[in-house]
Amino acid sequence: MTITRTRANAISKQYPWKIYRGRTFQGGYFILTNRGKKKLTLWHDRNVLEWSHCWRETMATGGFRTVERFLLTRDKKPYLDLGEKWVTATDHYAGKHPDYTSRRDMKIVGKCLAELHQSLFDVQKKIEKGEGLSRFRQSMINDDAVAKKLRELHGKKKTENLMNLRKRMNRSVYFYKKVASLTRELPLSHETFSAKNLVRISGSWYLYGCYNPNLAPLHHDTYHLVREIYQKSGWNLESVQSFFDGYRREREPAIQEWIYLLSMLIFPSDILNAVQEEESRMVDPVPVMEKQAYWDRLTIWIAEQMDQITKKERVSR
Amino acid sequence: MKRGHVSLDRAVLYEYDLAHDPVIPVTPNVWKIQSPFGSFALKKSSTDPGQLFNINNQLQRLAAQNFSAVIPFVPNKFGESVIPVQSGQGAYYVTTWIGENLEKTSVQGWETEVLRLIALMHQYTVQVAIPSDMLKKWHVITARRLMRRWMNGLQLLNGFKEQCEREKYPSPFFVAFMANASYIIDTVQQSIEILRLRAEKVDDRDEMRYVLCHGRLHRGNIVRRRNGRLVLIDFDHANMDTPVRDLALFFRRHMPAYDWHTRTADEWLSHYEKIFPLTNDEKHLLAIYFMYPQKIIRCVQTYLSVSSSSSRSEMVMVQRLEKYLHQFLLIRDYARYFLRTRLDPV
Amino acid sequence: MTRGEEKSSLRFSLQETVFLDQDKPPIGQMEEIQLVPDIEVLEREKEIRIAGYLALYGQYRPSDRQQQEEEEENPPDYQSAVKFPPFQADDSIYSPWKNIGEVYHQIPVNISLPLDRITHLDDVFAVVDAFDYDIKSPHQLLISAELIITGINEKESQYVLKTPWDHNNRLTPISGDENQRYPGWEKQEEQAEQEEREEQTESLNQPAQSIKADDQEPREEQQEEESSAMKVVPLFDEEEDEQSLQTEEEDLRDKERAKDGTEDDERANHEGDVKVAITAKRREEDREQVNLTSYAEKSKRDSTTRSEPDVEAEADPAEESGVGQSEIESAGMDEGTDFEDRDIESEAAEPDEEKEQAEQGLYLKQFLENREDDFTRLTIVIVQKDESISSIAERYSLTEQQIMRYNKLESEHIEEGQILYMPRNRSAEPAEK
Repeated sequence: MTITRTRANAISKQYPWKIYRGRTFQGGYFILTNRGKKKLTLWHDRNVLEWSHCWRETMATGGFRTVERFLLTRDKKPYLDLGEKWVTATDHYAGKHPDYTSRRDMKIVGKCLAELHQSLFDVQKKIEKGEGLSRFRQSMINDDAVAKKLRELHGKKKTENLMNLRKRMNRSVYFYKKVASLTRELPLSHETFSAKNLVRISGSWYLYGCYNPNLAPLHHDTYHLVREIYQKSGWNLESVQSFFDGYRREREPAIQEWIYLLSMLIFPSDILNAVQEEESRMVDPVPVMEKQAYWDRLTIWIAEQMDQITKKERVSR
Repeated sequence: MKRGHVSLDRAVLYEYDLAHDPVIPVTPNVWKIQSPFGSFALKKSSTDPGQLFNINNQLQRLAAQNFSAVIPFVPNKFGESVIPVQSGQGAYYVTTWIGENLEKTSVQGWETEVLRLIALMHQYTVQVAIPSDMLKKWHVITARRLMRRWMNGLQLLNGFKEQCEREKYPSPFFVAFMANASYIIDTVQQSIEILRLRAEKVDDRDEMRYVLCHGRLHRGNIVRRRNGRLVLIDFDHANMDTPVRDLALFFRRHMPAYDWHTRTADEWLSHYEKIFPLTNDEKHLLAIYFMYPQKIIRCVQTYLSVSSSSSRSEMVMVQRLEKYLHQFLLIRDYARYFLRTRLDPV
Repeated sequence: MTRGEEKSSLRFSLQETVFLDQDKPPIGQMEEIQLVPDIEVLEREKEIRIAGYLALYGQYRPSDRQQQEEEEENPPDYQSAVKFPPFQADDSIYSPWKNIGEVYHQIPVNISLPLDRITHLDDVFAVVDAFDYDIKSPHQLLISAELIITGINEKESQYVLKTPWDHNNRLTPISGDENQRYPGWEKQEEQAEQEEREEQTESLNQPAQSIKADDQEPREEQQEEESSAMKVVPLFDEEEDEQSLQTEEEDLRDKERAKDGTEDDERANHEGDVKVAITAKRREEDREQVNLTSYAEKSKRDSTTRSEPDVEAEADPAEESGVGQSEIESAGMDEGTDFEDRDIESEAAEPDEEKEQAEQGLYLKQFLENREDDFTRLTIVIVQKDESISSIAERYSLTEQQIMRYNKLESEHIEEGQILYMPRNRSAEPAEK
C-alpha cells in the first residue's frame, strides 16, 4: 500500500489544511498545503507508531521542542487509521545536516541523542509493550550465535584470521555477559540512528525521521552513530570526542551502558559479514580488514574513556 | 517597565504554522501575528509553564460555560497550548487577537463592568476546601504565606526606620518617611496579628473559598471586542485564591483615581456582590488587605535599591512617598468605614 | 592412436609419498589435485629418451588446528581488554579468509627406449592414467598413478627405471629382467635406502616415491626375479634433487653432442633399457576411481589379448600392498557388477580417447618445439558447498553435459563432497581462479 494522490487528498481532509499539490517523496508523500510543506508517512505497525509518538511528545514536553512531531488531525489525533496501516503527517524539514568534522555540530548530535535517550526512559514507563515492540531484534552477541558462526567458519578460514575473529567475538560476549541483564532493562530504542536525522533550520536543530524503525535495546543507535561519525569524519576521533562531550553533558551513561556499547564495538560484525558474503564473492575482504583496524582504534578509544571514568569513580569513593 | 525587549524564538512560530506571517511587536513580550487564518497574539510569559497550563484549563472550563470574557490559549499543531521557553524560564502561548486594550480607548464605567465579570468568573470557578495536592499544584497563596510576606514587609519598614533614626543628616525622603513611620508600622503589625488569627482558624477548618483570581487587573489587561464586550486577558498572574485578592488589588489600583470616594467604592462592591456575595470572613480579610501599605513598602524598597540617587530622583521619590502616604490614610479611612457598615450581622 | 597389433604401451605404476613442510597447515580435506606430465620425448641416435617430470599440484583445506588461546578472564582494564592483533590481509591471490594449503611436488621421469621399439616419434607420448591419492597423515600424502608411454612396438623391450628411492618406495616392474640387465641394482638400492634414511633425518619434506612399472610385454624372466632385485637405479645423488632434471637434460645434450664411443660404451650397459625416473610433489585429485576403472578396463582388455596382466601381482605379491592392491581390488569390483556398463561406456568413450590421444601426440610434438605449451591434466574436483555443475563447468571451461556424461550423472544435482572427474578439454585449459 502506498500513498497516492487520491489518498493524499482524502487524508488531507482530516487535517486542518488545504492541499495544493503533492508527490511521493522518500517513502512518504510530500504535499504542499496552505499551512506549508508537509509529509505524510505510512506506518506498518501501530504499536511502533504509538511508541514513536510517545517519545516525540515526551521529548518535546521535556523541553526539546525541535523534534519532529505528528501533526494533529482535525479530531486532535496524532495519526490516521487506514485499517492495517496508519498515516502520520509531519512538517517537511529541509536544511543542512550536521558536519561530521565540526566539533560544535557533533556536540549537538550527542546532546540530541542523549535527550532522545532520556525521553525513552520515560516512554518505557509509560507505554506497554505491544506486539511490535516485543518483536525487536535481539542482540547478536550471545554465546550460541557466536559459537554457531564460528562453527560455520571453522576449517574454511585462515587460522590466524579466524583466531582473531574468534578473540574479538569471545571478548565481545565476555563483556556482553556482564551486562546482559541490564540490556533487558534498558528501554527500547531505534536499531540505528544517523546524524542525518538532524537538520538545521533557521538556527535550530531539528530531530526528525525514524519512521517504522526496527527496535533494539538502547545504545544500538549509539553504536551505529558513533561508527558513522568516526567514519564520515575521516576517522577523526575528535569528532567522536565531541559527540560524547555533547552526550555526557546531557546524560551520563551508567558504566554498564558503556560496557554494552563496548561489547557491540568489539564485535567484528563487518568482518563477519564480509567473511560470509565472501563465500559468494560479493565483498573484497581486504578493505574490510583495513577498515577493521579503524574500528579497533575506536574501540580502544572508548575503552580509554571507560578506564578514565572508572578511575574517577574509584577516586571519588 | 524596566524590562527591555524580549527575544522571540522564531521556532515557536513553526509550531503554529505562523512562521511565514508578519510579526508585529506590541509590547516587549507580546507580538501580533497576522495570518490568513486570523490575527493572533503571541506572549512570552515568565510564568511557570505548568502554572500556565493549569490556568488555561480553568480558562477552557470558563469558555466551555459560555463565559466569553476570557479566551483560552490557542493550541499549536501538536495540540499544546503552552510552550515552555527552550532555554530559560517561562513559556510561550498564543491567543486570538481580540482588539485594543483600554489604555488607549478608555471606556466610561469600565470598572463596574470588570467587577461584574470578575464576580462571574469567581462564581464559575469557586471551590471550597481545595484538595491539598491542588494547593501544591497551584502555588496557592495561603493565609500563612501571605502573613509571611507581610512580615517581610514589616521587617523592611522597621529596618528602614532604624536606618533613618541613625542618620544625622536625614534626606528629605527619610524625613517624609519618619513623619508617619510609627503609625504605618503599627497598622502593619495589627494587620499581621489579625491575619495570624485568621490563618490559624482557616488552617484548622479549611473553610476558605477559592476562586480563579486574575491577579493583575488593570486597563492594559482588558480588551474590547468589536461588539463592545470586554475581555480579560493576561492571566499570567492568575491563581486559585481567595476572591478578596482580586478585589483588594483592583480597589487599591483603581480607587485612588476616585480618592477612595466612599460612595463609589460602595457602588463598585455592590456590583460585585450582586453576583458573588462575600462572606463576613472575606470582608474582614478585604479590610485587612486594604490596610496593608503595599505601595509604601514598595516605594521604600525602590528607594533603597536606587542607592546613589540624584537629587532629582530624590524629589520624585519623596513626592511618590507622600502620595502613597496620603492614599494610605484614605484607604485606612475607607477600611474602617467598610468594617463598620458592610459586615453582616453575626 | 590406434591399438595396433604391433604397437603397445608401456605402463608404469608409481607410488610416491609426499611429505608436507612442517610449517604448512595439516591436511584436512583435499579440494583439488592434479598430476600433470611435463615430459619431452627426445630422439637420439639409438634410443628414445622420455624425460621430464610429473608435476603434482594440489589444494587442500587444512584440518582444524586446535585453537585454544583462552583469554585471560579478567583483563586489568578496558583498554587492555580490547587490544587485538590486526587481521592479516596479505598479498595472496586468495582471499585472506580462504584457508587453502597448497602442495607442489615433482616426480622426475627419465625413460630410455631403444630406437627400434618405436616406429614413429609421433606415436610416442606420455599419459598419466589411474591417479589416486591417500592422506596418510596430516602431513603425509600417498599418491599413486599410472604413467603410460604409448607408441611402443610390440617387441621385447628392456627398460631401466632410475629413481631415488626412500624406504617406502616400491618399484614394481611388471615385466623385465632388470637385474640381469642392470647388475648393480641390489647394491644401489641398499645405498639408496641408506641415503633415504639420512635424508629423512635431514628433512621430512623430502618427497618419497615409489614407482611401479607395468610393462605390457612381460617377459618370462620377470617371474624369476625377486622383488628386491628390481632394477632401480638412483638417478640422483642425495644432494641432487630438483636440479636432477636439469642435469639430466644437460647430460642428454652432452651426450648428443658427443656421439662417440664413450657414449656407446655407456649405452652398452643400458642398451635397450627403459629408464624411468620419477619424483613426486603433490596435488590432490579425487579422480582415482575413474582412472582405476579405465585402467582396470585396459588391463582386462590387455589380459584377454595377451594374458599377461597379473604378472605384476605374481611377481611381487608381498610388495603390492599399496596402490597395486587397490588397483586390483577396484578392478575386481569393476569386473563384478558394472562390467557391461563399463564396456559400453568405454567403447563410447573410445573415439574421444583416440582423439585425445592423437592430440596428446600432437602435443608432445609441439612440446619438443615449444616447452611452454600446455599439457595433459587429470583433474578431480571435490564438490564444495554451494557449488553447482554449472559453476564447476564454468570454472573448467566445460559444458555441464560434458561433466555429466563423463561422470555418468543422471541429474544436475550434486552434493557437497561428491567427487567429479573433469574430462580433459584440450582446447581450453581450466580457468584458474
